[in-house]
Amino acid sequence: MSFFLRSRNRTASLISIAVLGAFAVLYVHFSYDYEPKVRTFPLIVGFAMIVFVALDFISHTNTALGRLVGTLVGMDKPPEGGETGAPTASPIGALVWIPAYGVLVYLFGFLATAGLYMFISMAVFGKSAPLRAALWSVLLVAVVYVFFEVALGFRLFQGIVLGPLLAG
Amino acid sequence: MIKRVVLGVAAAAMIGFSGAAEAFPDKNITFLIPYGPGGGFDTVVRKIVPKMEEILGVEVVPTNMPGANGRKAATLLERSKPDGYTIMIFNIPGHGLGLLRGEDIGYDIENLTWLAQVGQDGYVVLGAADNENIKSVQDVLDLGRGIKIPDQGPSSTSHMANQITWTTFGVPYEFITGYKSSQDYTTAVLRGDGDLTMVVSGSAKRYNANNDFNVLAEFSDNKQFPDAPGGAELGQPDLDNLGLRRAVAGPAGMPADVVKILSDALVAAVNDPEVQAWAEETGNPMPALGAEQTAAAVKRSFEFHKRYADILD
Amino acid sequence: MEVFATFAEGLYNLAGWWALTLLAIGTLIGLVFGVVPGLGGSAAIALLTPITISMQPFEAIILMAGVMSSTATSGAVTAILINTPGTAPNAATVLDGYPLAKQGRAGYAIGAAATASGIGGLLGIGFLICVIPITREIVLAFGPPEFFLMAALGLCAVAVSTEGKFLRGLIVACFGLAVATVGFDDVSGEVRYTFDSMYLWDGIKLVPAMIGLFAVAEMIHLWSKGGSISEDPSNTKIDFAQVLEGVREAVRRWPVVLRGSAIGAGVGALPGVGGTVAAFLAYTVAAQSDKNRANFGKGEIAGVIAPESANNAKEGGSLIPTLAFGIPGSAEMAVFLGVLVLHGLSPGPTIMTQHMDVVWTLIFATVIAGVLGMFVTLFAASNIAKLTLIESRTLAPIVLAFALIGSYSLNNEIMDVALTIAFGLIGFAFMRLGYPRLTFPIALVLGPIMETSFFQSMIIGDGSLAVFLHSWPSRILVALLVVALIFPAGRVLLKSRRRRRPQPAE
Repeated sequence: MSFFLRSRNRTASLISIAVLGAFAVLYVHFSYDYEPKVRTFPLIVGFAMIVFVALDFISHTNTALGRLVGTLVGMDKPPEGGETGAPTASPIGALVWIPAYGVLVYLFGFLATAGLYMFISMAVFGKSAPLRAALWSVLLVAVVYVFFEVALGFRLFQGIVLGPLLAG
Repeated sequence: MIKRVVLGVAAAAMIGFSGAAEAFPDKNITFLIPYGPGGGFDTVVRKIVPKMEEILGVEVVPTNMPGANGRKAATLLERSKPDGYTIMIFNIPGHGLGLLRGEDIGYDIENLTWLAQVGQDGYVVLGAADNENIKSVQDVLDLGRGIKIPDQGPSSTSHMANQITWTTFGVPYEFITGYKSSQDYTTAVLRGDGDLTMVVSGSAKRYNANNDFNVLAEFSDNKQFPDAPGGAELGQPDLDNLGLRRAVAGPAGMPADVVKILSDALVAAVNDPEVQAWAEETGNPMPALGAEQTAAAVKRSFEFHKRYADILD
Repeated sequence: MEVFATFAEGLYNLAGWWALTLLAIGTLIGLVFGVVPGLGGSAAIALLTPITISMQPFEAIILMAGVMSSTATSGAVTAILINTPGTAPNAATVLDGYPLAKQGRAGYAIGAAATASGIGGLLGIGFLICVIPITREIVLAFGPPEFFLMAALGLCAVAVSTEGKFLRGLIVACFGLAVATVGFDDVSGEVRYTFDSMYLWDGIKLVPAMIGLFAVAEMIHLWSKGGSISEDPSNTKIDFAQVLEGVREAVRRWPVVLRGSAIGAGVGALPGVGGTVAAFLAYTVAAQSDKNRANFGKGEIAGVIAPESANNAKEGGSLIPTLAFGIPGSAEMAVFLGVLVLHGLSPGPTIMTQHMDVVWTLIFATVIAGVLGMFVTLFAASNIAKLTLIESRTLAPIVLAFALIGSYSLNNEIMDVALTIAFGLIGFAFMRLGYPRLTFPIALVLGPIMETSFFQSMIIGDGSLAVFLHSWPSRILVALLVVALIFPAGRVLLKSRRRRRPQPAE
């Protein structure tokens, strides 16, 4: 027996409720810094969000009220884990992978990062031969460069490390 | 702190000066536009840029940098070298509004190097033509109630013009803010959302091509509607100081020879017959002013608006 | 009718190789910009503007018409293939387009989407031609109260796009509405929730947020899952026959196309509301009224046809306020207005009387470009659709590169990339935990419209709610709103009664 209904990602789901609830409470809190006219709409939104998050929490509890809410608002089935499919790499890895992309772009610019990720993704995480991966990454960098810099005339960010070197 | 800035500016000016000893300009010039593409300031810049390129012999690159009501672009301008290769178009008094309200706008708008004025316009009061109750400013005074004014919002120059005008006349007013553009809020007057509004004369001419509006007054020293009474006729000559200027500036401390080259190029580009014909046709009055006159005009505009600082919310 | 007198002159401007070449170039550029997430119609027009300075006004217009009428067509391709709207108005298309791609039916979905886009574009222009004589009355009939009601109606799309996860859909919508209040507030002139950051002054921008929420999140998911988008690539054959099947399906479902186009053109005519809302409303209506209702969200082709016909028909609609009053009907129209002014054609009441020939040129160019864009997309479809067969370790870094550069190049702002990545993580979390992501962009678009128009209405109506019943358009909208609220609620109740059964207790 448990207070909470069994569902996939139960812990994560409860954490998400806590995070969104905290967001809503903070949002309401900061809204009170503004004049009445300016905060009316945010307050309606913020309080509505608190109510909805609370209902979501209740619908996760193994209580009569929880089941009633769950039936009424369609939470009677366990939340689907997005589009299904067993992950082969841990989502935690993916969550590091993307911010790292941002950091690398900031340091070394778009072109270098795009090429590097293409190579690593294919050769290290995929099953491609290093040569094939290298070819693909050169191709990607070339296409991106020609499309954005040459054809469209955009100036791609070169990163705070590479940028000054290339400019100087 | 201030001393350091002054020193920095002086040092930068010297570097700029030594660089300019060779023929200015010898590389591309960046022309910052503190708005997105498609607006009035953007279009004016893009219209004069090809003429500037003909005169200067280098590329002049219009660069849109919208954000934070001009602060983003202006901050960049202030940080760049005063060598003439980075210039920017300003909305006067619009971009100084924060300053007038006593906020820290993050850059010193009064100390920029003013190069030229490329456009100037007065303000017109518009009411709907089919509104029987409001046919003149006198009707507004006789209304016996406050007026509702559809408008863009407290950061716009027309908002300020309305506040100054109706405070001067002693008419209570309430704004209906949040309209996206002057086209939007003049249409709102036509629809009856509010009683009247104010727009710059050039736009008013365009919107009123079908005589949908009554022009109740025009405050300007360069009138587009000869039949409309001005501030002087209405007993408030001070209001004729209202207006919007499009002025181009560079960072503080630009060398005099570079200022002269850029200023002359801008004035000549604006006075090009083709540009003037376009200005006439699209309702963007573009009387040009040189560097010194522009600096003086900007100063006058700020002085006038500062007198009303306490009513600008 | 005097506006029709210049008909021949307008057509004449298009006769000639140079004009047709410009049109083709514009169309192709529009298609490319539509496919890349982040780049859209407004970016393409802004980029092409300097090139047009030396052109004749009608030539510039032809080029721009090509761009404007093709971005939404190709934006659907991205929506279907990688669950990411290529342009904002394609957002609703992902709901059923992507499930089709996963079933290996991407070619079919693209075929139907392109056909619906082409026909929708034509119907939108037809609508424009019909209402040219009464454009003024239309624009004047819709004020702040009507806008508020329209936005509220648009939010009802939330109820449909979250089938089964209604509560979490509402939570995400509130999150979107809250995020929409960040930054400079036009109504009060106050800056909210920026914590002194100049970047946040302009608010959380829709396009970078959407690229993160969809493209980046999808790539994290795909990358961690492995495999390809099509769940069974070895048994999937994507060929032209599949695309043709989609074309036939779109033609067979002509009532869906017709309804979608009518909604698109109608909503497009309202300034500031735009294609995203139009497409969602069309989807909502289709999902509520279609006989295959239960299949929506799982790969129902009508769920692709309806929003795609709507977001192309909105072009014709949004030209109404743009031309008649110079009030842009959509984001790209705002930039297009600048092009018109640059060429000495001031939009507003005079354009219909003085430059009607140019308006006709614009209309014809839009028609031709729409059809051209449709055919190009159709012929390329079976090849592009093979993207769904590519191994994720190859696809993800490519899509990431284009998505992040797309979000950067919009404003040359590196912070936009950080925002995109942050929303990528949020989007991935939403995906894993069963929060429907699509209510977020709807709320982000509609939040400011609702807040602004509500305050405007309150001042106009002296604080009385009666202002929302003051005109016929507003009364009709109130009635529609009531229907939209009662309909799904009634269905949910019915369903839950049927399904009520003991809950599994642990």
